[in-house]
Amino acid sequence: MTTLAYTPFIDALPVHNEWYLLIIPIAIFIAIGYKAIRCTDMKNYPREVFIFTMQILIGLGLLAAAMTLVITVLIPLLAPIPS
Amino acid sequence: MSTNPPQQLDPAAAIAALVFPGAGHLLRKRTTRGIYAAVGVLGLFFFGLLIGGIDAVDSKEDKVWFIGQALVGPVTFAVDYAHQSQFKAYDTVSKEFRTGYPDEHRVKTVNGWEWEKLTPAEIDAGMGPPNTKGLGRLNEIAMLSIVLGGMLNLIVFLDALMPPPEKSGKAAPKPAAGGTP
Repeated sequence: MTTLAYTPFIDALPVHNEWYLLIIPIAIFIAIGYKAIRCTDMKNYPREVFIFTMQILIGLGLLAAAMTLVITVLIPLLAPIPS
Repeated sequence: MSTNPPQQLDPAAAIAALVFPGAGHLLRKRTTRGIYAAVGVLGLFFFGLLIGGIDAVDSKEDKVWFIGQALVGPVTFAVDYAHQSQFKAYDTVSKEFRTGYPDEHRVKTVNGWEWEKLTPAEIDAGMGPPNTKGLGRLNEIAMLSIVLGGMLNLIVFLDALMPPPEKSGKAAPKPAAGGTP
């Protein structure tokens, strides 16, 4: 059998450098499924899916920024590495 | 004293939800919600398979992940069965049942399916294992996507089992101020 050609759903997708973009479709699918059962009025469904998707993405972005700040600023201040 | 209408669980809808994501809602005539729930759960499942390949579902090597993935339903077990039976083989030396390396191919022997080393010429000719193993961060994200699908399906299952809000009294209008409770 050949391994040269990429087979969808069988081989891993070669997107190692763009891994962080994969959170976008995951957030969209979570919002679609979750709001399908939690949305009180289905007329507002697309709007609620959009808002929930944005909440996930912005929340994760803020979490990433906070962790970056802790690792690059706070920890070196608290425990400086002797040069 | 106010009393809520009797709450009735729907075991048939729960069984349908176990068999296929969203089917419980379809059985309860909540078609739109059932379709969207199925799109959400199966979207996460197949997106995980798309980025991680079939190696993202592995009941032998990723047992803990598989517990969460199993919540998606029979489709997870079907993919795992295909993975174990069509893509894995035994190491001839260690007897370990595993995915093939890039310089191996799967051959049927008297002992069952085994990995056989390829010559450089055979590798150049394009021979190799039937799938490439998912590695690193991509493999983690793929497995996580399918586990999230499983956890979402658990919520969908419980929603199919429980009575709809309009029947359980949760959506009942509040009494007007000064009215009888």
